[in-house]
Amino acid sequence: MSEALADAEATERGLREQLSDLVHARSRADDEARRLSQRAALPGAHDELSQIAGRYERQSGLLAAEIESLRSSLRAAEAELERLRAPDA
Amino acid sequence: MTALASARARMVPSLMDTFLVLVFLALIAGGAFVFMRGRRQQASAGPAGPAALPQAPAPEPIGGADVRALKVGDVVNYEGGDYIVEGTLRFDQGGFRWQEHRLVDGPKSLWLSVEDDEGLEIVVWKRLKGAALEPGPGTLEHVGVTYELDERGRANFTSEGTTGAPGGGKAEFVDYESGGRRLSFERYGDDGGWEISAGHVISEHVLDIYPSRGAGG
Repeated sequence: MSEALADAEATERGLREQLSDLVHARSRADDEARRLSQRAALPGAHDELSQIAGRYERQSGLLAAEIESLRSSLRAAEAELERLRAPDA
Repeated sequence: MTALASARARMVPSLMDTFLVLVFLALIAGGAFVFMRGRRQQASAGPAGPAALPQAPAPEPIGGADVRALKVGDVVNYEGGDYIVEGTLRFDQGGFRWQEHRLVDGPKSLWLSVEDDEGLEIVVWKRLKGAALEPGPGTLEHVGVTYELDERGRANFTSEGTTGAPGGGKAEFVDYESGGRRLSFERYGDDGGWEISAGHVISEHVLDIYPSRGAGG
């Protein structure tokens, strides 16, 4: 296996692992936003709960944008990998 | 001829015989080694194709990760959703193995079964809550689809992560099918009720897998 191919495979694998990390982080942010929003809706709930829930929602949105950006990078990495794996590469 | 000379005369053919026997044994051992090595190479390459056609290369893992190696913590991108594998059931029926993974994306959840028997079959399942269905007859009808009994049996299983099933034991299953559609009944332990699921076969190519760190595969 050529060094370039090994590098491309490592890049692709690394992007997938980063995507996995980000999806987990977004899932946690969504869970927290949902949990805090429910608590904020209870009678007598502290105002700050809504604000914190909103921060988690914004964090989730940022992570979602980062996930889409990383997915684009992954598509590019896959294309490069296919190019290097082609018989005439 | 003296007695000594006679003895020497008898010894010379005896040494020749020994040498020939050793050469013969060496040839047998060498032949056996070459034969066994050939068999090992053949076994590792799989069964020979008809008329010695060249073997097709093994397919590249789909999306950089093999769905057969899916495990708790991995992420599966399917139909626009990023599903986290929250639980895995591993079944073993007399050496034949398959897996069922519980995938969760926020409020959405589904099951993915992966079976590699004469070809890879991947099925996406939805649990049916409160369906008035009982396994047993040769055919079953559900939402306008007539399913035919495919298989029933028992298998050992182990559970990892969050599956809703106990950690392990015996499971009973009854599978129905209709083309690419599937209907499955599963029961864990002797006193468990039937879990009913409806599913459809999908191509592995529609899945994109993001393995968790330290996946090693």
